[in-house]
Amino acid sequence: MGGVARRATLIRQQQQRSGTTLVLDVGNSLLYDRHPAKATKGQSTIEAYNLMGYQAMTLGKLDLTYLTPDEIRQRMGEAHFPIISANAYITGTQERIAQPYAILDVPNHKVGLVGLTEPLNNSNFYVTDPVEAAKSILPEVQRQADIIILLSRAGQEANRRLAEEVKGIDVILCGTNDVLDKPLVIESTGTVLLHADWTQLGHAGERVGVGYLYFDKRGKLVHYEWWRVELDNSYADDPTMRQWLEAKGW
Amino acid sequence: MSNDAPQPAAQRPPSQARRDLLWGAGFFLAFVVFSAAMLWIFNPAPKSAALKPNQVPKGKDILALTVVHTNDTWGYLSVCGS
Repeated sequence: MGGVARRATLIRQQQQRSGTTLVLDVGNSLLYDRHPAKATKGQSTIEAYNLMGYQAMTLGKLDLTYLTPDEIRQRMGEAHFPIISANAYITGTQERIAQPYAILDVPNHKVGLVGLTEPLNNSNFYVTDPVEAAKSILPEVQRQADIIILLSRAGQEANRRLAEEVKGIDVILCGTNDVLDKPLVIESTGTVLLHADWTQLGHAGERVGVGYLYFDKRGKLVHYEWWRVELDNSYADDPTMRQWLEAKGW
Repeated sequence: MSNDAPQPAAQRPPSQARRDLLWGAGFFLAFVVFSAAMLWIFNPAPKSAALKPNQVPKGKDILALTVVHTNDTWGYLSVCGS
């Protein structure tokens, strides 16, 4: 079966290993060309992500290309987690389609998650410059959180600029097909860039990033280790997820 | 007719054909072993048991935070290509 059933197993293993686990998605994950996500307008994805215990997701170009504002609002209403983007707006308005950031509680700290979408302009949405959007929103987030993680689809060049120019970003989790093969540490700020997956054989959810991050009492990242995990058959299907897939006929 | 004329492959002595077959099988086996070794050595995807940190900072104020992250899953419930 593989896919989300194996991913659920990996997530469960990590949650059992560490009481403090964040499960995050960096966008372009609601739907594309396949059943059932295409037919349900991403509802199947939200149901699966709810079951897997995701805690935040950002919006990507595909999500904003194949869904209308109303459909995205519906998905946000169904999700048990925040869907965030600091720079995606509804065309003809100054209104963001999603909340720009989310604050999550972890023991003795607060984690600020900021979503950044890649540039786009269509009849439903427009996306502003991700670097400027991040610079503009980060002071507000930093007043509420001492650990800052970006879910960024800005592209590697923009991500590096952000990491170099803005102090206090601990980690940038990258999306898009702009490959970052290995973790990248920006020397001047200590920001770590991580990228789980990109379009190549076996992609689209088979490769998952797992990071063990260690923070001091001020919320400064002092050490990290990271792996790109391929969900091969050493990961059994999670029974709950398999049951759900079978019940749905997916 | 001279006995020195080259013989077609089909008429090679049985011992020569056996040797060729053994060489072929040996090369194939070596190729399989070499490929498997390269895959094992260079495979960047660790199994779950391998996700063990080399260094764990100690201290009562240290927060150990695990982040599991995905991107561009396209809503696929099964693996791309399956």
